[in-house]
Amino acid sequence: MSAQLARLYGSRQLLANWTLREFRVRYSQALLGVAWAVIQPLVMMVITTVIFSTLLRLPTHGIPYPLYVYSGLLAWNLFAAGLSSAIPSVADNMSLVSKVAFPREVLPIASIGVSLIDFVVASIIFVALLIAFQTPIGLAVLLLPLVVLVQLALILGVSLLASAVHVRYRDTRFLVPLVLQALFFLTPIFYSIENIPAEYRALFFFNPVANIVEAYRSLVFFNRLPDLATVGYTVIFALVVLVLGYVVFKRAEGKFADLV
Amino acid sequence: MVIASLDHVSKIYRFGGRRTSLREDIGIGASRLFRRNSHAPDTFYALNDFSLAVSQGDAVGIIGHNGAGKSTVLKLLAGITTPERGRVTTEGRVAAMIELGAGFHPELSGRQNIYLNSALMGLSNEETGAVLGDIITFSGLERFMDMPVKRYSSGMYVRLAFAVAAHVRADLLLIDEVLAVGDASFQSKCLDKMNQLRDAGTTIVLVTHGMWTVQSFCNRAVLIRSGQVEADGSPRDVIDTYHRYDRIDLLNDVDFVPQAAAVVSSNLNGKPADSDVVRMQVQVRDEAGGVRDAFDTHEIMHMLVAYTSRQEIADAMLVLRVRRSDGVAVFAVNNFGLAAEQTRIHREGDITARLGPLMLVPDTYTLEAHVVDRNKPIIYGSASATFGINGSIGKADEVGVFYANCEWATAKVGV
Repeated sequence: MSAQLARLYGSRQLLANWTLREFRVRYSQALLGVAWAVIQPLVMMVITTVIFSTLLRLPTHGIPYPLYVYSGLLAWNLFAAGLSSAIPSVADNMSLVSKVAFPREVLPIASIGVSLIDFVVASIIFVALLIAFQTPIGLAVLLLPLVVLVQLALILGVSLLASAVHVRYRDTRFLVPLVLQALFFLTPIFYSIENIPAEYRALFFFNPVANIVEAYRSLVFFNRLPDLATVGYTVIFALVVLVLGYVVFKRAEGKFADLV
Repeated sequence: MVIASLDHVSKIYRFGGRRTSLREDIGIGASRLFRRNSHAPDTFYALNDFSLAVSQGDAVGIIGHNGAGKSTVLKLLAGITTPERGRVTTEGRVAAMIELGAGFHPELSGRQNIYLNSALMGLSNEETGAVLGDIITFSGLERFMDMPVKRYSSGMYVRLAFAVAAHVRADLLLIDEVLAVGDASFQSKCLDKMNQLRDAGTTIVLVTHGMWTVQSFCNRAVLIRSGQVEADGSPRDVIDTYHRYDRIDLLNDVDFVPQAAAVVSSNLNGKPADSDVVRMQVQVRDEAGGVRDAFDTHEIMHMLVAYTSRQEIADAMLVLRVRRSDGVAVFAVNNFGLAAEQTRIHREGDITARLGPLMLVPDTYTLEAHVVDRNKPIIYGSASATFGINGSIGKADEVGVFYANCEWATAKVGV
């Protein structure tokens, strides 16, 4: 496995070039270009604000609802966009996979890389919103990159696992959006975990995405470290999925080209 | 020094391609559980216990019929796919030209695609930068470097792709039939470049149907037949073996003797008897009698076989077979229908045939003529000639092998 990792490290410029390619290609024929990375969460923010804050009046601990929901969408979009582009990435490039040899994990990693660029753009808007709403920010926010790192590990692990499956069984094309949609509602994005009746709240502990969203919020809005047990569980979950995903992917990789 | 080797490698493919759904696989898995047969019946061996060692500096031509396993050898050496059994080892940087421009993205500019494709073959951006000028000069596309490649003509596309692959400074270069693309002047430029790379010490493995390329370019040839090495050695000898098999296959194709298959298979390693009894030449001429090597698709062709024979052969017949440049057999005809007296081979003689119009799609074709026995699987002599059909190759409306005659009628039914 160390040889494979060394090979991946040797391909880092390919990875950078491929990410750049994916980024250029994604927005090359869109009139508004990279602005879509911002429009998407902003529109979602406006819609959810109208429905859940103005009409349903969900409480958010004194945080302005648009900010509250934007933070959730920010974290969620990295997750959802990363998975939706990384999982089909190998199958979408079969003509290349069957004719050129290179570490195949470059494809899902680059797709996640593009989602990360979108994430950075959307984060800049988030900072602008925080300033506009005059929200106080504490030092805890400096730990946010670590949360993002754990999140990326989780996304990559799931992507490696699912993209290897996707090459063989296109069932994932239907399964992935379904799972993402279910997870969107099971994750406290447009609501707070405090809105959930206490007896069900413990179940959210098992949803690593919910833990990540909550971690974003406690660091940004409350200047508070997330619960250590939750952090420990989420980190271990992400790492196990990452290692498992990598091993499965590398084992399946040699037969990708035969499945055209 | 061995730079690449396949060691007792087997590569198994499934007929019918990939399984598309989970449901089918669960079905297969379940039936296997109960029947306990570990091998699905619909698999075949693309390579079967195949071993090959390529030495530093070799230029190896791999030949064989379609489906023999040639491309699988390249894909294994390139690391695109892995074998079910056996070991594949390579040293140094391996660059594969299996499909030119496979890594190109139509939306990106020529320059961006150069960097991307070089990176796919393992170059860093600095390394690519160092050869960028050479690549651009070789491609002759200086003025188009900042244009998206989707605006390139197919010829420009291929020129750029070859230029990249030829400049990555590979230790082992794998080439699959790519020289069959582009115009003649570009092809000769490619061949010059390949000669240059070979002379500079790059090890090259070339898969091709072009026997002339193998003979002029390679120092070693390997004939693959049914997933195994059938012959390995000097190009001259291996090509001879290839042609010998070609003739045996011809005997099978013609199918005029029921017991032929048995005789041929028992005779596989032997040279078909008396194959040099008839020395012959074949020419393709036009209606006016002029020898030509290019025809329009609707033209009549006259084939002339001129022969001398060491003996008279009473029970002979002539088989003509036309192959397209990629090896596909287009058709075969024979004069078995004539009385034996008319097809007998004299000490010296001519045989003519009026062919056509063949209505073939523009390409290069090989006409083979074989004098064979009417009753026994014996080839007395063979010759071939190459001709082209005028027109541009690969136009969208020229799919397939020939232009079909077609008369349309349409009618309106009802009121």
